[in-house]
Amino acid sequence: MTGVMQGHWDAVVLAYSLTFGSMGVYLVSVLVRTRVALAAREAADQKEAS
Amino acid sequence: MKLMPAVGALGVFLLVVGSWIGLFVAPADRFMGDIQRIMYVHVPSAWTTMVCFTVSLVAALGWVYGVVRPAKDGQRSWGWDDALESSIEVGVMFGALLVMQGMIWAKPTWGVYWTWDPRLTTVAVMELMFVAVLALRSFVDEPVRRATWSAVTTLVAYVNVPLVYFSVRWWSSLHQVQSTSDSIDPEIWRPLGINAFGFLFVAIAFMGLRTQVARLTRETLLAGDDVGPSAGGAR
Repeated sequence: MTGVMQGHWDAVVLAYSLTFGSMGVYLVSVLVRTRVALAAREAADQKEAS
Repeated sequence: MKLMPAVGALGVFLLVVGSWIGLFVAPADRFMGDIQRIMYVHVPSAWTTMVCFTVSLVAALGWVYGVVRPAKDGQRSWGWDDALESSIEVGVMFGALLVMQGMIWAKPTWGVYWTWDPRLTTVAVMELMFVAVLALRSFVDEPVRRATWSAVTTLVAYVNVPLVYFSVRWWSSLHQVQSTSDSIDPEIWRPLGINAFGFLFVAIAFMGLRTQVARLTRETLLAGDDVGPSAGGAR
């Protein structure tokens, strides 16, 4: 290594944390919306049946 | 749809392996040092964003084809609209990650978080245009009109994707041109390839799960209007 740029592990850790953290948050948001959508669909089905 | 958790789990496994190799096994770049390790998530994010937006293009074309040449039984192919909504949302999410990773990488290497470089500018325009498609969807309540308008705007927004890809070749750019397996060392290519498949599988799982949300929401909406998804009258 020439030593032109060394270190910057803080930036690497920030980029990886941001990436995988955001993916995790997005997964949770999709799972929550799935539950909400399923509940709304069931409620609509029950309303239609009655 | 039942395969999606398995696909997602495979994606996460690949990301763990690829990131481990990228962070702790692959050598540091000769000039940039360890900061170059951001590439193992930055480049796959870019590829995944492109793949998601290309899926949205296919979905938009599928819906528009159904509008131009309606089925004889009058049924709508709602699956195209569900796929369009999910692929754009997942693409925008990975696009946002792409921009943020790029900014973190740019500060120590270019000295600034952001500059109006052709690559960065075209990426920003692409991201904003697909965000606009999602915003448009939230403003239009009528399902058929929403699907048609968002398909047409997706076709317009997709023009940015080849512009992003070729921007580093067509214009003078700070951003480096695309690397290939021939131009980079196998020790660097290996974690990049593993992470690329990891991102792809995770994105497929996200799109699958998100499509389910879009389908359930649309079915509930149409059921409330007394026009089920199989009813040909939902025009």
